Amino acid sequence: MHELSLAMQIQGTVLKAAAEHEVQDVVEVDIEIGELSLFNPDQVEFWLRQLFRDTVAEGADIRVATIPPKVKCDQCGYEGAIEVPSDPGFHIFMPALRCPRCDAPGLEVERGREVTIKNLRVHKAPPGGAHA
Amino acid sequence: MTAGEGETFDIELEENLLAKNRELADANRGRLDERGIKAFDVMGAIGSGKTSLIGALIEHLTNRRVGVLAGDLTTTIDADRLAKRGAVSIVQINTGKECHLDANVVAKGLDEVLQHDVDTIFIENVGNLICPAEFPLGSHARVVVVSVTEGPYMMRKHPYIFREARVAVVNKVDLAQVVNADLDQLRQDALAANPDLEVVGTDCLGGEGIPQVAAALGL
Repeated sequence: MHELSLAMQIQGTVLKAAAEHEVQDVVEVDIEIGELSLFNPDQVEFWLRQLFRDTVAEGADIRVATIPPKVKCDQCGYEGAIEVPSDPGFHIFMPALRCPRCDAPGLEVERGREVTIKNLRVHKAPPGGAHA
Repeated sequence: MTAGEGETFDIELEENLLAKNRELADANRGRLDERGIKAFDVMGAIGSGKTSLIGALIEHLTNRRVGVLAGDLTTTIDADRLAKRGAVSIVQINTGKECHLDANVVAKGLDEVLQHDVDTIFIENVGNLICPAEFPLGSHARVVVVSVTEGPYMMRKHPYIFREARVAVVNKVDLAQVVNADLDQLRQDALAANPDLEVVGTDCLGGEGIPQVAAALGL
């Protein structure tokens, strides 16, 4: 359910930016979701599509890139990637994070938990012109 | 591109959505620190005993003036229960359709609760072990409540929420034998998710373990 609230936040940000730039069409929305965040990219996209209906962003190409995690181990100093299971249930049943080198728990997550709206591609009709 | 076609361009936003919540959480913490108030947010599944724990802590902490922000979807049942246990102020945060509290609704709740003379605040999150992990509220420590009746895998299935917590409360220990719960295993699973956790077994209705939870929170 929290994908809906996240999607509402994205919708608000997108429509505000579109209004500020006085655009008629949002063509593309680029979002990044960390693989360790507890958000399911497919659900975010689904809700966004619904929330964009009857707005300037209706039909926009929603591109969700997943960001692989980068961790740091306090114990052995390992800094780098960890494997994330591709199981769709991972979103709910998240395994404990352990260092791939020394197996210590309690890793510091440097990347992979963030959710970012990166970029919008928008279309602006010419002054007085027809809506493209 | 001709003028008749208008123009297509990019708007770079780079807006980190979770960062906004963290900023608001930091602001909440600042407001609490200014007044010397300690706040704790209690997370856990529906029926795990969050309200019972807060109620028992209020009764135990006789020298503290406790305020509560009670997050609930639509009812006032929990707020009514805590009023009877001696909370100085109870603010009900009805989240409507949301599955977690965020720093913004907590900020609004603080507006109300800070009008009262409180020195300790408990924030009861919505019953859920997934979403709240992603949204810090600005409290000084987070508590996760798991009851033995929820089955043996709660810690292993939801390690993330334990990583965010200072104290894991294993509630309903009085029922452990009946439901064949392995308390040692639950403790080990919690510590595997977060080695710095304090794990305390409680019977929130009977009062067992309540002083230990208070001590673990520095109260």
